Amino acid sequence: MRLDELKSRADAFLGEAMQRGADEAEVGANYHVVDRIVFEKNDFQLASSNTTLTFSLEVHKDQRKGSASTNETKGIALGQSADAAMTLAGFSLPDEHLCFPEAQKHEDVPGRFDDELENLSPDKLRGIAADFLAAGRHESISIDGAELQVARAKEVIVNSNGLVAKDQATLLNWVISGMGKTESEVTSFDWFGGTSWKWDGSRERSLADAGVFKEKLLRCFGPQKGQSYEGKVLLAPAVLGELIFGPMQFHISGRQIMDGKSRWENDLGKHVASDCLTLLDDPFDLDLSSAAPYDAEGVAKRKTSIIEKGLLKTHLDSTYTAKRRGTVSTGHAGGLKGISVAPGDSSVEDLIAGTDKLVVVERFSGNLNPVTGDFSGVAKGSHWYEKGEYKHPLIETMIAGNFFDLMKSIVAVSSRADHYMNEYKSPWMLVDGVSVTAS
Amino acid sequence: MRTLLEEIVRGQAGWVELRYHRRRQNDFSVQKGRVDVANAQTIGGVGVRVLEDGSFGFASSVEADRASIQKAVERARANAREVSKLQSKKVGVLPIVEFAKGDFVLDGYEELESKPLDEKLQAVIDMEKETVGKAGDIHTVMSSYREIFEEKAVVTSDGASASQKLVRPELRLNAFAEKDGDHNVGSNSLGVTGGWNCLFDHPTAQGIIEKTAKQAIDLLGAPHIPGGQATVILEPSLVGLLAHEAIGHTVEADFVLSGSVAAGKIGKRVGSDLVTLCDSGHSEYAGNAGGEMPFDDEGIPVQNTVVIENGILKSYLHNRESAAEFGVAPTGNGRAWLYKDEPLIRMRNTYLRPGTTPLEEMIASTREGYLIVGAGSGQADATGEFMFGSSYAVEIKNGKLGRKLREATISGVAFDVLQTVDAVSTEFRWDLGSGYCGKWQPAKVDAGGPYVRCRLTLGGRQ
Repeated sequence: MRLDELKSRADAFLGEAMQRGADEAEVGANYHVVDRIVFEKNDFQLASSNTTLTFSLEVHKDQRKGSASTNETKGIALGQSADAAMTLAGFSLPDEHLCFPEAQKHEDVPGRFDDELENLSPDKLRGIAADFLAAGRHESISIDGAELQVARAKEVIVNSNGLVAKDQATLLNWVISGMGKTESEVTSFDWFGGTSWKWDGSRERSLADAGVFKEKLLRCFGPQKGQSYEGKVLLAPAVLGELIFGPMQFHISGRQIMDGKSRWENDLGKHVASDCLTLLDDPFDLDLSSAAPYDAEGVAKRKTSIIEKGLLKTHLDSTYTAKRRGTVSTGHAGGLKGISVAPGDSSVEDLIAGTDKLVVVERFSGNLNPVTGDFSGVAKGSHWYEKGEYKHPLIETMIAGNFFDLMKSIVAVSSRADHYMNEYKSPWMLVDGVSVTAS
Repeated sequence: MRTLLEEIVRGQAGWVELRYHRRRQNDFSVQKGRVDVANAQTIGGVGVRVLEDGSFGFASSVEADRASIQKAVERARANAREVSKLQSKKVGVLPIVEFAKGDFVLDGYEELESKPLDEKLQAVIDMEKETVGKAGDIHTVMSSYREIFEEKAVVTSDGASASQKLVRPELRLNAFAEKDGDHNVGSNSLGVTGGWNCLFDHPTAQGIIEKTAKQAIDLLGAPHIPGGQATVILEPSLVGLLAHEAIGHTVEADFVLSGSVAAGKIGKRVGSDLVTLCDSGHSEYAGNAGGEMPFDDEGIPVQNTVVIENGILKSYLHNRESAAEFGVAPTGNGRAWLYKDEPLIRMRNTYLRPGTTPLEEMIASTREGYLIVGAGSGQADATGEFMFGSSYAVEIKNGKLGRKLREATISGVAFDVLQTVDAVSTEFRWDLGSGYCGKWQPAKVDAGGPYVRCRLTLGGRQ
């Protein structure tokens, strides 16, 4: 399906809603063609193809909201979905702040669509899948699962204010998971993966990622129990999504501020983190799979400074939360996607060298309550250092602490910054005040 | 639809499975007196799986007409041929097994379908309002409701032909409280396979309001739990989480074949005599578990599979392919989330059988330990090492319950922990009916059990 055809169908659906008496409405239309090859039980198991077309609609009628979505698009089905949205709006509660964004222009983000991926042949997908698996294999590794997937996406957003947002992208995605396994030992589980917008270079990148997966697991053999203490730990980029970026996003969200759940409502311009931390939202970084020209309601994205040397620079708003809070949208309907943390001056090795005793946390399997900030969980695949020297991998080691304390206890960030699974870009973080429990 | 699928299958060469699935889902969410979500979703289509050249191929069609399904069959065949070029161990002919036949409609489907939407939304609005009013320290409440109407038909070229309709409603209530700069959240949820009245049968709507509000304010100012090894009594939601995450996944036959900790342990002791663990498509001991169904997505009637009996590992969980490989009957665990997903080995309702010790007696006979309450999120490795969050812990000293402590995270290695089980309560409940399991694709599951006393590691402060 061409983008223009998708736009015409979205316009028709919008028309159905307006004909039914909506005061304003917004339609999202998505067309996805996905092919994948699946590896399980130490062998290739399945190839699959799916083509999906989905439409979603939100209507506002007398300041009341209703919405519907469907993949049934023939005959009267879209009309029935419009009826359902209008019916739900009739039952809803009035909200004077309901709104959709105004018409606006979007800057293109070039480099996210590749003809070769759009027309990728099954044998090429098969070939890269075979090479990817071969790069992750090792006699001491049991591969639990792996998947190569090519997705071709076309998307349109239109609303009754005249907003039109159109986008198309191609993305190759790879992931591999498993554990180290010999006759006498099984390591903890881990995974790694990545994405590429284009075919060129994807083979090399996927093979490198399979290599990272393999090396991480091979380092985990021969684990021993560590020591209980309260002090410094070094957090790998893999654990920062859960321990730092998730709760941070919660407390800068306009919606959470609106609902009284944020602890940073009145902290703009104040220190919420140590001055080691500088973090921005870069929606145009093509090394991130979230790179996009606009947010979930069609508002143009832009580079945004979030935290600068520990100072909170902004809250994040959609059109609706901005109207409620008397501010303007920052283009963050759908959340913060392009997290990029500025690197520091010291290498990872130097950060380790300056410590007395240290757990290097490579994976966190645990819970963090974003409201209280308390976290606790197992430091998986982690390693023990004493006086800067490597000792051994760890087993059954738990870490606990509080997000707000952690932010202010960042001692240093590394000069090396990784695009972790193409989800965010971050250096390693040395933090203090964490409780370590060795069972 | 089943008739059309049968006609299409009749003309096919080789093994073909056609699965029609239409889901209607309504979602409401209310917060601070405002309706954040009032959404109706419909998604449907036909998933096609074929076995050709010793490999499975899958494709799907949004359109459920003859021509579109036939095209999907051809795409699935091409995919099978493609993967066959990579697959070293080919899949043999699937053995003929007992298939589901006929049309099934589970209790509650018609009741919930006929209940007006505005009444359901009003109930969600009322629950939010009433919970906020329970205590001055509660500043925000989020009340949300979801109902999932499932309509499926499965037809295979080797004899399955059945359809089912069932509905799964869920309710979630979160209360956010603050006092003197200290914050806390009370969270509870319900989920069943059944109708509206069944959802609020036990606990009642009033009961869940009271429980959520109390949980939010009771823990304000509560201290953190200390870390280390401890004797604990796990409540049914945590026993369910343990049964599902830490043991259930390791006995899924695809994980076993990948090298999970359960591989090679059939017939061996993995728990104390008091431990009997099952995974069932039905609802034993209490009704309307959230993962109930008459047959799985391969058309196999569901079983109550005894995985561990009196501490001995007895069975893995199977789909048709793995059952053939292990030379056993399939257990009805082949499940797919949507029409466009292929069936995988998934759990249904996973539980520990109740024992003979009343909870009161278990507490009274515990000299020092904790009662751990409310399942948070959980993760476990194929090694059986697990980590689960909980809502809170209650100190036990000399057989008496004491102060509440916040956010205990529990951890251990599943089969080691099961060996330490020394008391299992008579009380039983399903407690994770609002839960979803994630394994490449989601699945609606339930889990539960009795109260269980054991030893494990608590993640807390030094």
